[in-house]
Amino acid sequence: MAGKLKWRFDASTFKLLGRGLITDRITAIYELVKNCYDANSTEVEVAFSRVEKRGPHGIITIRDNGSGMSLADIRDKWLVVGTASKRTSPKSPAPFNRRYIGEKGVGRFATDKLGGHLRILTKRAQDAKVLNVIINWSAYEGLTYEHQAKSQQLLFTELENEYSYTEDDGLLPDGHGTALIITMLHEAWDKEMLLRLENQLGRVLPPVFKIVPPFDIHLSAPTADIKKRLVKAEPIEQLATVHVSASFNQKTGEQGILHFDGKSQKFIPSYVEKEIFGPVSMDFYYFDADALKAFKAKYKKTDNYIEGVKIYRDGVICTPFAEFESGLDTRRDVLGIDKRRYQEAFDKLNTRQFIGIIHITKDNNPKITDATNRQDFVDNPAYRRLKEFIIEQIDELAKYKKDKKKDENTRVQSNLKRASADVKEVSRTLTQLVKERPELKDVLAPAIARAKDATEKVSEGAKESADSAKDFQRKEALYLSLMSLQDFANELAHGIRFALAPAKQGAEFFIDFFPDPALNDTFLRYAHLIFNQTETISSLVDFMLSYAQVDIEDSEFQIKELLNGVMNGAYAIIFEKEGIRTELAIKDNIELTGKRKFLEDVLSNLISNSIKALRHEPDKKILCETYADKDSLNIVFSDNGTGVDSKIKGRMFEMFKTTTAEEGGAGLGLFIARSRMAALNGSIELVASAFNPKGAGFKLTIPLKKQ
Amino acid sequence: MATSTKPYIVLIDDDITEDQPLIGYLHREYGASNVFLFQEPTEGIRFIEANLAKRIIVLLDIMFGEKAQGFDVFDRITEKSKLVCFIVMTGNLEAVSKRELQRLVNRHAWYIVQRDKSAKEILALINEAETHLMMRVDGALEEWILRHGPDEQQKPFIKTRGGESYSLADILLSLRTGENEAIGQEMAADILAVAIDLLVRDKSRIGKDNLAGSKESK
Repeated sequence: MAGKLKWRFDASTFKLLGRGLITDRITAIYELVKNCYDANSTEVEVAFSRVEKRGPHGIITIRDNGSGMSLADIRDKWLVVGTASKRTSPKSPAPFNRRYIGEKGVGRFATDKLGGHLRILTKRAQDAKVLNVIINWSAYEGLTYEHQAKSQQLLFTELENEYSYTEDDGLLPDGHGTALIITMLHEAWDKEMLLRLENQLGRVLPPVFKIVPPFDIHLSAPTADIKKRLVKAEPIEQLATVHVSASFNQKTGEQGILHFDGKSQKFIPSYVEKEIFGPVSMDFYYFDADALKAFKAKYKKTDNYIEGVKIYRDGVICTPFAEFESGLDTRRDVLGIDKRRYQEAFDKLNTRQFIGIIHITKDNNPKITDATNRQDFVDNPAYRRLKEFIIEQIDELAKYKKDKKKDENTRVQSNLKRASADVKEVSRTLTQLVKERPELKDVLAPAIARAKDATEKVSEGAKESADSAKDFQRKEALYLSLMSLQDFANELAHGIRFALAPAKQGAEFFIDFFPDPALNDTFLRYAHLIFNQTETISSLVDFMLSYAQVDIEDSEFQIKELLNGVMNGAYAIIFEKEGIRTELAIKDNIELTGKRKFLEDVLSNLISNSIKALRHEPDKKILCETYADKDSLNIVFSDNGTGVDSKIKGRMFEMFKTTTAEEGGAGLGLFIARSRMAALNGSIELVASAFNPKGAGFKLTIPLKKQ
Repeated sequence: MATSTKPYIVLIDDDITEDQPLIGYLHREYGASNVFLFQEPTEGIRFIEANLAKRIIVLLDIMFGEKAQGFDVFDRITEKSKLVCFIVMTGNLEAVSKRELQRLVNRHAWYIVQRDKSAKEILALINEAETHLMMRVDGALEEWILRHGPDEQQKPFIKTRGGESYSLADILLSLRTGENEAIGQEMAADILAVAIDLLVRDKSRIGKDNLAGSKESK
């Protein structure tokens, strides 16, 4: 037996399409408005009547003056589920030339999201009468249940909808267009929701963007105190602190990106190779604290006006257009901007500090396609890269923010200081006045008292602010050192693992092959190796432990005293024994604040390297010079030994890089020196020795001011 | 079929020295003359490029100092030939970024192993890689082509239905890089298909044939 099987759809399919795909009411309205756009309307009215309560009285009307539909259009297109009917051209006829945006042919099911009953009134310019079609979603539902109760099957394709022709009663004043009248609303609309809708509809087209012929959306909700008015985006962009844009350069085929130049403190145009998601143009508006304050003063209760990045395709918004949630935690964050901010650090921007407008086009960005639920794009490498790209742009804005914040701190401080001086001045003038005119004493007494009080308060305030700034700096410094400790822990763990590998494999060799007289030499070699590796691991562990032992608090010390202590104190006996002549040349004796032990460690390591390098030198010399320049203290440490092997010059500060393996060098000394200098915010570098061409020289640099 | 000679084991790693036990193990297993250590990535590349005719298993370090030069080695060689087998050694597996892992996996690194694993674990991986090389039809095909003299390799060997003519050298290049319309891969696939077909049709006959064949070759 054989035959053919057909697909069938249960009557409840409409629920799947309308309520399953269209996730929220604002999205539903947007889908319907989009259809008006495709129908070449110049005006759309979205009217709400008695919608404050859900129930039989509420009505939502979406009416346009577009081309309207014939009975054939309704039958062969509107009522056909699937992708939109094939269009001969991707654009609507002139003068509109609109790129069609309704694509997947599910927009019409959005009405089911809004209410249980839909009446379509439509008329083309050439028609005499208005075509009426009734889609009764609620009745479908009723029928479905009825059939289920009788264990019968009802198919979607069997559902019937009534139509009739009526006289034009003025609902379509232009003589053509379509009105969707939705009743039996599923949910109530409060005023806040309506204002939210207005805001979102205002951004269907990008702000500062005129289309000809126009596409004007009007909103009315008389019962919610909203008279019919043109929906337009509030010009909030004008309040932004800074506006930066970048676009694709068609001539060179390069993509413009945002670039904030720290030196000139300006955004400088910059270009990169074309990205895989295709060309984009972008506008970013950043709002600093003042701008946000001004914004809030002007637009009350509209905290979600500024909401990060929006993407427009062919001039019409695609995502995110309808963030239903007003709570921060539940809000959609399609690009993951906020998520990232919470995960990472303080200087990132959040979506309420900027507006980003990204323009793409269907033709040039074919890989960026809408997800069926309209809330995001289909995940693919191009979209993933676009997300990354947008975040890179936001990070450039963040640089600007960081830079300005620094300025701001300085400004606040100096203002406070000035205010404090001003108040003092007032107080002094008053006292002076009383001195010269004692008769005014009684009258001025309260003013003087108040001025004194104010002086105290202001200087207290200034001090507090300065303290908190210091505290912040201190904390920042602590974070920095913690960060470097983290890197550090990582590097050390890595080092231990490296040292461990051959020791472990050496021991393994013993287990596998011992005893074997033929391998005695190898055994001995590996035993030495295991011993040496464990020694290395011990030193690494000691080094790690030293971080736990060293008093993390900084202390004050004089550089001269420290160098004397190391060169002429701790190492004096060794130098004498090795026959090394040392010389200290201290040009500037400077008092430092920092981790004294760290600097001593650096010197110890340099000395121990020099001792090895001087082993075969008959006239052994070490010279340690210090001098200060504008913002750093420099210590140059030289010997006249064998110098640094040119082979490892580039990598000498890395772990386990040594040329003194025979003298027992484990390749840790310079690594430790570099780490310690980094912990002091300073640096170490190889320079020419004072005994050039002989020997090696190392220059230590310690910043005198906090960078 | 593939010859029974040992493959070359090439270590490219600046943290390994000749006196380390891993090298000792490799010498025992593969013979000192088949084990090569390079601390300089460029020297390693040069050696491999000069010895593409051999079966090669590379133990590759990624980080050379602060530079991830290992990736360059990997890219350079895989561009020339996909038939070289790579085992990537790393000090810190967690530190290898996802993107880098993807790159390794996509270009068929055989294995990624943390360097403080026991020598036996690393040897087991090399062994697996060796078996893998032996079992690969394209690898066998490569060896078979290389057994022909250079002149012979240049002669037209096969003509496709489309009328294109390919020499053994063309096929070799194709096997290694996918060039020449992937004729090499196609041949390898065809050989495999024929082998499977024969096996499925008459198992007993295949067994006998093989037996007879091996007797003859003795």
